[in-house]
Order: sequence, then structure tokens, then C-alpha cells
Amino acid sequence: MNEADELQIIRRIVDGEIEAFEHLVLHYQDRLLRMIATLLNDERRHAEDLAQIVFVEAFRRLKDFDPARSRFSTWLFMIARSRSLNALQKKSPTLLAELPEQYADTPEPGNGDRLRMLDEALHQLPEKQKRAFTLVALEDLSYAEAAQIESTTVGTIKSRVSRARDFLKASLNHH
Amino acid sequence: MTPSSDYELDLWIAARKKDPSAHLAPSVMKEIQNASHPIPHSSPRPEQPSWLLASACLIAGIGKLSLILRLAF
Repeated sequence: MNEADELQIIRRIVDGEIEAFEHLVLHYQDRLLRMIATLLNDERRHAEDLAQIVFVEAFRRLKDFDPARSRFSTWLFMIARSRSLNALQKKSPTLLAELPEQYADTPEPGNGDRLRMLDEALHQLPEKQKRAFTLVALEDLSYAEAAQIESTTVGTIKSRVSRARDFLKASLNHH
Repeated sequence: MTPSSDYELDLWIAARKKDPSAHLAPSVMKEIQNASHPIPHSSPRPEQPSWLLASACLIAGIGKLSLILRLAF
């Protein structure tokens, strides 16, 4: 789906064709869920609930979306970021100990342990670095989009991503 | 930093991008449909008897009562 198609779908939804929103959900659900799950320290079930809330909120606020100010993906990820931060504030820090289940049966012996090490290290990153790294490295957003979502400069995002990468690589070398 | 840690990091990033797919569309669309079309009352209130019917019943009741009293006394 290109940006023009996306804007056309948004116009149809705002004009009352509610069913067209499903196209946006199908297009963004994987990325949105991954992003929220990462920010919530891989609490998948909680992330699914939150992703649903984010989509419903996006639908309700869709008439306020201004394509002149941002891309739809940026706008959607801003809602997700805000909701995730609220959820994190309410949650206890014990979430940090959670390990992602999806890598439990990684085929290569030894390699899975290294991947899990990186999962752990990701959750030890300072929150701002983790968010910048998630948006740029894991979700392939541009530095400019990530800067808009985080309300900061492109330079700051580049620096956060770079420091996050260094931290993650260092976590491998410490083992 | 060694080149191998860069490689491992990229491998890990690729692995995280292969997370299980989400299946949010049905639940999201259901929620949206519900919010957009308020559900009518599932059990409509029973129809209230009209004042006319109530009055007729009252008059008939009084009539019956007076007939019983007349027969009794």
C-alpha cells in the first residue's frame, strides 16, 4: 500500500466507510504489535491488548489526522508510543525479567543463547535509546520519522540509535 | 567492536522482525463497529397498558363489585 492509497482509504473511512479501516489494521498490525511488544519488554499478550486499543483510538481520532503534518504511520506510532509509555508507568519493573518465548526453540544451539542475550540487553537500554532503536532499527522508520515521534531532532535520534547499537554489541562481548 | 558482533546484531534484528504475525483485525473491527453503531436495547420494554384500557378494567371491576354487593345484601 503506497501513501496515496493510504490517504484514499483514510478519506473513505472519514466519509463513513468504516469497513475500510480494516485495510489499515491489516497493513500495520505486525509492525505496531512488534513495536509495542518491544517497548513493553516483550509482554506479548499485554502488547496485543494495547495494540488493539491504539487502533481503536486511531480510528476515533482519524478525522484529526493531518497528512500535511506527518505520514499516517508516524501518527499511528505516536499514539502507540504514548499509550506504551502510559502502560509502562502503570506496570511494575518486574517486567524487565521477562524473556521472549519466540526464541526459545531457535534451531542453532548456542546461537539462540546469543539472541536471548541481546533480548535481555535490549530491555536494559535506557528507555529513550530503546525507543529510538526500536523505531529505526527494528521497524525501519526513517530517522526523520523517529525524530517526529519522539519530538526531538534527527541528530539526537542518530546518536541514541548509535549508542544503543554499541551497548548491544558490547553485551555480546561481555559474555 | 569486532565485525562478528555487528553480524550477530544484524542477525538478531532480522530474527526479531520475524515475530509471529498479529491477528488484530477481527477484534479491532468488532470494537469499532460496536462503537459506531450503538446496540439497541436487547429486550424492549413491555408495552405499557393504555390509560383507556386501565380505566375500562377499573370500571368493570367496580361494576362487578357493586353487583356482588347488591346480590349479597
